[in-house]
Amino acid sequence: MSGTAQPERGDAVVWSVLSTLLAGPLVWGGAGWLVGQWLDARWMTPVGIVLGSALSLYIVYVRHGRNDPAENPGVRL
Amino acid sequence: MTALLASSGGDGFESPSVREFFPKAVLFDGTIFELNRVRIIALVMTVLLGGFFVLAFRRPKIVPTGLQNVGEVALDFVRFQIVDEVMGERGRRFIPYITALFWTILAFNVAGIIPFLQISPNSVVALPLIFALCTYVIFNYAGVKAQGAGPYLKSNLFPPGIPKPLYLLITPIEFVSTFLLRPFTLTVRLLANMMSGHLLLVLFFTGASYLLLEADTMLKPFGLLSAAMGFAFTLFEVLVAVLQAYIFALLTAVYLDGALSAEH
Repeated sequence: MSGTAQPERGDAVVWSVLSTLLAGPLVWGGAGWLVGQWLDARWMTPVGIVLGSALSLYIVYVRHGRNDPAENPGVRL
Repeated sequence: MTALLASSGGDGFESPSVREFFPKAVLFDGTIFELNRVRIIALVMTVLLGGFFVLAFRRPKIVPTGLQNVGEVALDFVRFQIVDEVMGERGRRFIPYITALFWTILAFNVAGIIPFLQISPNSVVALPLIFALCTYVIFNYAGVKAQGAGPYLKSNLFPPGIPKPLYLLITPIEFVSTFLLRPFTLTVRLLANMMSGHLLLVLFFTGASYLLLEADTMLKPFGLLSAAMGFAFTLFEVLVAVLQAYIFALLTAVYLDGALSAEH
């Protein structure tokens, strides 16, 4: 959410969340894989990917999804 | 089908491959100035685009006539539909960059369906990568300049309004997403669209020519079908060319807008 008078345009933002959605599973899936190699626990990779995806969705919600009219007046699209 | 193809004799059908994108050098083979078909097309499109804008605005008039009308529509599209829409007033400074970006990418994309050119320079990784890196450098520079390095990093890496311990999980994602994946996704989105579009067209048209001219009589109707599909996908590629240029310019504006405003 940009703190300007110009309301954020929904259609433009849709294209910009792609990298966030990719980064979550990549980072925590990768971390899970590394730790899994170290501790010999293969299940860490899928757990990391799921955790990362959930975190990515959470970031998208925090940055773009909160729709509190009191905090954020103006037209939301 | 395979049996029919095999029994039809001839050399058999050769499907398009990644070699399509790396044709033989025409000039300066082996030097850093090596020119091949794809590079020449990039030069031709650049000259055409530059020439168009020079001609359109050579003697600008208050009331535009002729080519100047077209040129103004071209500039206004980016200004009103992309920059004003996303960034508003403070996007003014970036209109020249985003306009140049949009029209260059569009010109390069459209080369993929112009007869005799028929391949987009954006279907080789170098150009999409250069465009993406330009955008990357500009939005980071604008962000640091507008907010200062510390606050800029903070607004990108620490989105406000979430419980403190979660930053441990969130910040690495934000770092990879903003500073590593943004240029990567910009590059790959454009590159992959242009590559796959070119491969599809080559496949359908070489398929049509093979089926109609060389294959068994029984297979000729499929040749017509293949030609029809090639035609349909050519129209589809017009849409893809415009859409991908639009998305690239739009995302540049979105990234710039995000960099200029401290997230609260």
